[in-house]
Amino acid sequence: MAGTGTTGTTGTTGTTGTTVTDERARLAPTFVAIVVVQLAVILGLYWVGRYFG
Amino acid sequence: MRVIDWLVVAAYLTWVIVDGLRMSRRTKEMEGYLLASRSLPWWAVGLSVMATQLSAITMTSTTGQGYADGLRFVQFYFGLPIAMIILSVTVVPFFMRARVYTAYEYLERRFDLKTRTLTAVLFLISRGLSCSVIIAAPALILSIILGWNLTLTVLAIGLPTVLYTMIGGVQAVTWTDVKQMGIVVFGILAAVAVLILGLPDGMGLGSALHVAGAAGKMQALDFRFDLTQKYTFWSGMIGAVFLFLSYFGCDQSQVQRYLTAKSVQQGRQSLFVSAFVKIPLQALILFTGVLVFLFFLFNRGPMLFNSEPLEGIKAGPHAAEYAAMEREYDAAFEVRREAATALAGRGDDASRAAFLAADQAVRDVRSRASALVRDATHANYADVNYVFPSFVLNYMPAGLTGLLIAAIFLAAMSSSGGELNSLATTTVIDVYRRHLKPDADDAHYLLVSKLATAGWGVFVCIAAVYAVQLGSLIEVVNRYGSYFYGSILGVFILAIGTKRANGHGAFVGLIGGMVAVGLVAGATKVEFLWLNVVGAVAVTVVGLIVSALTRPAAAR
Repeated sequence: MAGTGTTGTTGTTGTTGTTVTDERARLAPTFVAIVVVQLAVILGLYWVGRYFG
Repeated sequence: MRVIDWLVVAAYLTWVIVDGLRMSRRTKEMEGYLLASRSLPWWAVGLSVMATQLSAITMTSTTGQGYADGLRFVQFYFGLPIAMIILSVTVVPFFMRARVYTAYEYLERRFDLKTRTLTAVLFLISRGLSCSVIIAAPALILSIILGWNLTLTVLAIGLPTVLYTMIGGVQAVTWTDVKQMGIVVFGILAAVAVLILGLPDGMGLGSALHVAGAAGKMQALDFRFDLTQKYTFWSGMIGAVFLFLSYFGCDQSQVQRYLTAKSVQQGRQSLFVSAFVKIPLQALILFTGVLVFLFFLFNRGPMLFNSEPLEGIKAGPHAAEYAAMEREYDAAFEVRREAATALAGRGDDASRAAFLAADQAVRDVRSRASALVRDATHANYADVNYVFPSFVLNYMPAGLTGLLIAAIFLAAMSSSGGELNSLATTTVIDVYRRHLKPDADDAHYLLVSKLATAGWGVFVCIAAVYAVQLGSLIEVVNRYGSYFYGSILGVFILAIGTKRANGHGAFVGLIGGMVAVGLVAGATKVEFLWLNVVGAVAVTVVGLIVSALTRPAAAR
């Protein structure tokens, strides 16, 4: 992000001292869970359309 | 409505308003009034984020879309989880650590005053208009069931909302949103249960859904890459991502929700609530509309659900023609009911063909009747927003009708309350404090914030009266937004995503983006979700070019 120094892969977040890399690593399981749930819902809707359509 | 329904509505609304007013004790300074002193838990903020988007329009028009078009509208939300992931690592930590009141405040730090002001004014125009639509939707419903004048109905919804938002600030808005989400989900599940129990004796849900599937209601996904189709997998996964990035990342009505969170982590978690829940919830609401379609396959509903102009038609020169259509509808309905029952029982190709022909006959009659009303009244006539309310009022059990009507009321109040709060915040922070009176004390800004809330309340109530004349309401809201959202997103992409852009580039880029959206919308048949992509890309490209051309020679 321009002007903040927070988006570099090893920059610090400025408040906790943790790196951006640490922060994103901590969030990764949540991101994966969101994508998996979304894919499951889309596949479910696809199945509904095929089965009942 | 029955007495018990009115009691439920009255009790629920009284509780919400009194509880909202109670919050005024915690709003003695501007930061408490506008941002709850950045102290709210993630789950309350997350529900507030969802509730601000889940308005009465969602309950009336989205169920209507489920009734008319089936599940396909759910594709609109496919981009939302992706947008939430992007926002959680970009703008959420960014805005929260900058400790801004509004998203637009940052644009002056990054670019200049003119870019901040133009973006803020665009937000005020677009959000002010969409807020009026949010009040108009339940006003339509109530004007029908109570026989009230539309203006009075708008005021009946708008005045209490303005009152508790003006006095209680964002605390009142957030905790009203939490109540709303609880009651809306409960109400929808209750409606689903009643609809399933209302299927004909001996007919299972699976058989009934095969009938809905034959009518095309169960097809949620459309993989055609066609820019002229409104809702496809691709418009949802690409066009809507841009819309949601702009809506949740650059629109003060949403940004202000997560600015109230206790920490960056809690702000992120509040967005993850929507990322996990939004698509299943919207699918449930659309599915409710499909169940309403099934319900009216087997239970004789009105030929036209919007009954407002029908008394005049039946008493006027078109009375005989309309009566003949009603008789034709009765006959067509009976044929379709028998065909649907046969299809649910046998499921073979012949019964499917017979059902489709019968369904087409019913739709033909309804279409001709709608055209007759339009001709007779010389006005737009839309039916789709009235289907679910008609079911709720006439077929839900006593008490649950009141609960759902209260939920529709509350959905309108909480959504518009959140938007009034954000409109007032932008007005005070980005316009009044920045341009008109920069050195007043906190008590003065708190007073002006309350007055701005009241002023916007008056504006949206007046605009709501006109908004009801437009077609499917949810599309109206999204169409208003898509003329601005992509361009505003483009400015924030320039601000946060690149170091090369400058103030001149962002300002000219924003104007260029809106011109591009206007040209594409006016000269092509590209559907509105794609306008968000056009706006964002145009602003980014024009902004970078102008920035390069206006950069000082030494910097180049």
